[in-house]
Amino acid sequence: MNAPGLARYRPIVDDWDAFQTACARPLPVDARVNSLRTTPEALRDRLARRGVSLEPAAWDPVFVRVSQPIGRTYEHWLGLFYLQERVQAAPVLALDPHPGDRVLDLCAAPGGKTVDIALRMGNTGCVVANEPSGRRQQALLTNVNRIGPWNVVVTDHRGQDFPAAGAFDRVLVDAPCSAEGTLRKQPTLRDGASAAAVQRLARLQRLLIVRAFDRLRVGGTLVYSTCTFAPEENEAVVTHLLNTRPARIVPFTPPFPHARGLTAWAGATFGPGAELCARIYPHHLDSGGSFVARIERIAS
Amino acid sequence: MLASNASLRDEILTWLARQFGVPPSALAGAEFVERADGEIWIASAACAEVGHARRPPGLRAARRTPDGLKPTSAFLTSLDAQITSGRIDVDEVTLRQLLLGRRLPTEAADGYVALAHNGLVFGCGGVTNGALRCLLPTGRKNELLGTLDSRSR
Repeated sequence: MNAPGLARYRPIVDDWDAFQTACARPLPVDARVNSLRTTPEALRDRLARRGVSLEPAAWDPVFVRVSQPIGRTYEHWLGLFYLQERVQAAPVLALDPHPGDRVLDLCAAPGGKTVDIALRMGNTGCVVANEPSGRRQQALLTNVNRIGPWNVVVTDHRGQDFPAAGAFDRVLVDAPCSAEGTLRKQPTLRDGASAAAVQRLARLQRLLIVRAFDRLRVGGTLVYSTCTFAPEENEAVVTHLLNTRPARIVPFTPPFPHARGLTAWAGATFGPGAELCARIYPHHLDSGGSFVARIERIAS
Repeated sequence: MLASNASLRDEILTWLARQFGVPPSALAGAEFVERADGEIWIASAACAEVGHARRPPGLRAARRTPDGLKPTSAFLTSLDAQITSGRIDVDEVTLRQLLLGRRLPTEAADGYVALAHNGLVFGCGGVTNGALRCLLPTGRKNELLGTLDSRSR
């Protein structure tokens, strides 16, 4: 297996003890309120009748933390919220979609970020949610239908082959990855990903980020994100784009605790601007882990 | 495969206003597209222009039947508070009976209605000769029954 384990990240994690403690704790229950259908206050009042308390995030009240599981409630069945780890807000905050935008979500399943984008655009513009895998696409469709926005269209292209069909204002690549940041849900990931898996995924990620960039208009925003800690799947992939396309990293400062992107790792140097990316570790939000890069297309 | 035009939009807005009291302003900016099989989808104008998807854009809203337009449960749920007529609120006992497939007496006129529980529209119902039935898809019915059962345990 040659899984190097999470210990290899000890030199880059800002507070290793807090990181390890958070990884060992059960994951809190977080949700994204369906702002087309309700408000955090109204949802809080409804759930209070079931003995559930709800705390909106100070940095964005549509993300709420609840006191107990709410997946089997009438409100969930109706689509009044989407169960989603709090850290999953970061890529969409970096994307910053606006009403009327044309947005591509290249690797969309299971759909949490797709619906977050669509809700922020308030049934205007268009979110093209792409997912080639049949089973994962079904999950995407189920979740989009349950939340109910009208501004989503689902496509099924391989991400690295996504066709030229007009330029997008914003593109999100939430790439398939070794998913180390989800270790609180999947304890087997505590051993870290194997080096072979990381290399295989990094090859695919380089194809995806370049194709996504090529679908972006000049001046448009590309967000590249993963839920892994591996620099080979994060800063190295972004650096590959910078070396091959007219792109520049622009600062993304999440409104919650985070660390900056790495400028070097294991003998490789990254950037320019890799330090403008954000790394979110499980102890920062008492959630999962994420890497987020915001990139601008500066020429055709 | 898809047809979208002003007359379809007028037809849908008129039907929603007459049958469910939905003001046309609630659907500002939305387009409707109709497939050859009579399915009608609602989408934002920008989504209605996307041409490389195998599936229509947006949300499946209705389909044509011999009895007229039949709304989808997902569409009625998305309209929720905008629905001010053709709406029947049911308590939990009645909801369970409907989900189990029972036909229940009602004074409502024949046609399609929006079913609501706890103040929220949850799907489409049908009234025929004074009997109300739930027209949720079977999978969604079973999911909701499971949700109600887990809560009562």
